[in-house]
Amino acid sequence: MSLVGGFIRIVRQGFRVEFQEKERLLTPLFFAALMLLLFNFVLDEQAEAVQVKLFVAEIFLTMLFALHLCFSRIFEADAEDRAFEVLQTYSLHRLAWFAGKYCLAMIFGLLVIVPMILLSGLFHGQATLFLLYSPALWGVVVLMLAGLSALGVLLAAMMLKARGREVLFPLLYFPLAIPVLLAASEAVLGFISGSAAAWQWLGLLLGFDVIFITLSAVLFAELVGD
Amino acid sequence: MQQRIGQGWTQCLGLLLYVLLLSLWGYALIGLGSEEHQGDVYRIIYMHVPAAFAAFMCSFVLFVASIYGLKRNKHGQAVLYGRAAAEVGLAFTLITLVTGSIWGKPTWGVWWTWDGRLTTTFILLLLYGGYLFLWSAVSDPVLRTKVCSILGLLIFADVPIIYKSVTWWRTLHQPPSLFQGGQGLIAGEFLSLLLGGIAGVSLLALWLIWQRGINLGLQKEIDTQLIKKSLRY
Repeated sequence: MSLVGGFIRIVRQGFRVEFQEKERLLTPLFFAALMLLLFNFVLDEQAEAVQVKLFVAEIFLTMLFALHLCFSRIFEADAEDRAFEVLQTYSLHRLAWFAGKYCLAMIFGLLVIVPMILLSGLFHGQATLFLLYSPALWGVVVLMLAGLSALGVLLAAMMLKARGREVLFPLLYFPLAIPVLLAASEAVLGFISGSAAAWQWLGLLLGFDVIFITLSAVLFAELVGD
Repeated sequence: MQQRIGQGWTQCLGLLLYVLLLSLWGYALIGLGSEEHQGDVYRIIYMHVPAAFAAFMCSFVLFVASIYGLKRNKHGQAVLYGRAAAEVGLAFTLITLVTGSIWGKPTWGVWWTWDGRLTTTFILLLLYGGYLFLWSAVSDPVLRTKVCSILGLLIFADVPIIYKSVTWWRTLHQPPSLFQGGQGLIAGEFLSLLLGGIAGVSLLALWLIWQRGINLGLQKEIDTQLIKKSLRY
């Protein structure tokens, strides 16, 4: 099976499975909405300058938590009907398998993130609405998602046969994801304040993305190989 | 293997390292004079910096064991040394954080601050812990070798981020202060004692990894024998 053919089949199978059970996608979305609600309860009314910082902190943290739910279940359907073992014996290119799952993680991540950011902007009102039109914010969010998805796919594959993976996944995912989260949030804050450091943070974020995507693709091939 | 662990010279080596380190720390406490700016509190550097170095070095040992385990030794001993490195690394990372905190209170005025290097060392501690949890969560030995080796490589990839964090993040922590541009920044006697401490603690960490690796190998042999025995009945 060719690389592209394998990739298309993995993505198609993923879409079929995910949209068969709508709660797979809706659960992270509702979880994100719940987190926004809780954040707004805790943070309450703040000055306008603080509102912007809180908005950035809130969306990035909510993203991290909601994406963890998306990623940790990316191989769940494969594990349930033993498709994972069957795919291991197929002549499917390992890179196609990783790329397919990575693409699915990115798409489902975006489906959760975009409504969540819009909702958060709405909750904060006038102080943060201008940010929703900022290409910098959306660009950084996509770059952050690119790094986190690679890590999420690799960790989900690693945890597939681990006992207590519901606990173990966040235990490894959160500390490994912190550099990406930090670079992304600092870059956005830098762009908002017009600081030149924003570009450095953006470069750093790109660097982390390259490291995570390359490492994850190579290590995924090792993991599912003989 | 029993012979290897029981060999007297390995125990002598360990004892020698402990004696060497205790005398070095004793001299740092009693023999050296006070520092101009920090007074006596600076003496903790002889434990803090070598422990930090050993914690970082353990991630390198973990990396080597992981590469070897992944490529050449899927059923063997390599991954056991990886686990040993994670355990020893966890201990030294904890020592680094505790001694750093004790040093931070009189010099920075706080026990803890979310400074770049502190935060990332804390992340390293969590990752070593995560590695050990993952180890116990996977029961199939071949799969365990694979997933733990992969995590070992990911942890090692995190180490440069920790080291570079001083310059990347705004920080309270002083920049690397042993050498700059090939020149030593600390006075001769202090520097040689510090380098001696780093060498001593690093050797101790390697010795601990070695002993723990042998120990884990013995445990594996005992478990295998027990399973074989129970299958016979």
